[in-house]
Amino acid sequence: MKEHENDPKILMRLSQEGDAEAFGKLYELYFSPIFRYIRFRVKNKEEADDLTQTVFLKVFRSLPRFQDQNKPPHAYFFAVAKNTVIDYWRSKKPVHLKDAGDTFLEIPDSGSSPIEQAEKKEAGEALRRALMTLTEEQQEVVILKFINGMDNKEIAALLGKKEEAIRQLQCRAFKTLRSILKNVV
Amino acid sequence: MNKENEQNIEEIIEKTLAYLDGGKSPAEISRAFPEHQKTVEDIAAIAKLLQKEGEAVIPPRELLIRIIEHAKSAVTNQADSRYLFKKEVKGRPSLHNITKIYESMASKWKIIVPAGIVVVVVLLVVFARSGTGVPRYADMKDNNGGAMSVTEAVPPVATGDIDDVIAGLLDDSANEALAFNEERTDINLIEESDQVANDFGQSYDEKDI
Repeated sequence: MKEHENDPKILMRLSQEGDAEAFGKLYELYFSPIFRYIRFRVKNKEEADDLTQTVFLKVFRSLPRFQDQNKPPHAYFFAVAKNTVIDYWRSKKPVHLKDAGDTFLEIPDSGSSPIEQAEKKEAGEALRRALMTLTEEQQEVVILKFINGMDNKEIAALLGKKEEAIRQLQCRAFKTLRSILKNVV
Repeated sequence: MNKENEQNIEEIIEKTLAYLDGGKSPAEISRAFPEHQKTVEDIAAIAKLLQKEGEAVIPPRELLIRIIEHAKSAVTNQADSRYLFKKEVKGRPSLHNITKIYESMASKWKIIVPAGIVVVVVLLVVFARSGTGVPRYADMKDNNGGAMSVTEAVPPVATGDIDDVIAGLLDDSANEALAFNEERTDINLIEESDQVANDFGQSYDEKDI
C-alpha cells in the first residue's frame, strides 16, 4: 500500500473493494475516537466495549452500500455510533444517575498521591453524572469537542447543523455543567 | 434583572469558550472579563477536566483485535466475501450483477406495468367509442330524417263482447288497407326509380317528341 493511501477516503474505497489491509488501517484510525465517544455516552466500560464492537460490525456490513457524498469517512462512523447509542438507550430502562461513572477513570495516575487520585476520581465521576443530565444534543457536542477534539466546524458538518447552533448548544451545556459542578471544579 | 444577568453569563461562557478555542489561557481571558473572573475560571476548569477525562480513556487493544477477528468470521466464505466487496465483475455473470439486474427490473416494472394498464384502458375506450362499423338500427334515419320505428299489430283484447270483436275486425281491415297502400307507394317509387335509371344518359330525337 502506498503512502497516499493512508487518506481515510482512499482507505474507505479500498476497503469497499475488499482490501483487508486498508480495512484494518481504517479500523485503527477510528477505533479510539469511536470508543471514547461511546464510552462517555454509556454507563460502563463493558457496555462501551460491546457497543464499539457493534458499530464496527455495522460499518463492515454496510461497506458495499457506503457512498462518499463528499463527507469524510469519520462522519459515517460517528453517524453509525450515534444511532447505535440511541438504540442502546431506547432499549434500556430509565437512567439511574448513581450507576453512572463506575470504573470511569481507567488509567491510575501513578505520579499523584492517593488523596489526589481519590479527588480526581471523584471529579471524574461527578463530571460523568453531570454529563448525563445534559440533553442528547448537548452531550454530543461536548463529547465531540472536548473528548474527541473536533472543532465547531467539524461538529456542525457531522451533525448537519450550523456552527452558530453548535456554539449555542455548547454554551448551554457548560452553563448546566457549571451549576452542577460548582463544588467540584 | 435576573434574566439580564443570565444572558450576560451566557455571553461570558460563549466568549470564554471562543477564547479557549483560540488558544488563550484562562488568566488572559480573566483579564478580559475581570468582573466575571469566577465564571471564566469555572468554564476553563470544566473544559480542562473534560479533556483530561477523555485522554484517560484508552481503548483496549484487545477489543480492536476482537472486532477485526469477528468481522473476518462474519464472512466465512471467501466467495461471499468477493461478492460482498466487489462493485462490478466484468466479463462474467456474478451474483452481484444478477442482484443489480433484479433490483433495476423491480424498480422499472413499477413504472412500466401501470403505464401499460393505462394504455390498454385508453385503447379500449377509443375502440368502444368508434364502434364496429355496422350501423345500429336505433341510429338509422328514414327519408324524412326521423327515426325509424317498428310498429307491431297489437291483437285486440278478448273481452267476449260482440261490439269489441267487430271493432277489432274493422281495425284489422283498416290496417290491411293501409299496408296495401304503402306497398303500392313503394312499387310506384321503384318503378319511377327504374325509369329514371333507364333514361339516364339517353338522347332523344327532337322529331319524335
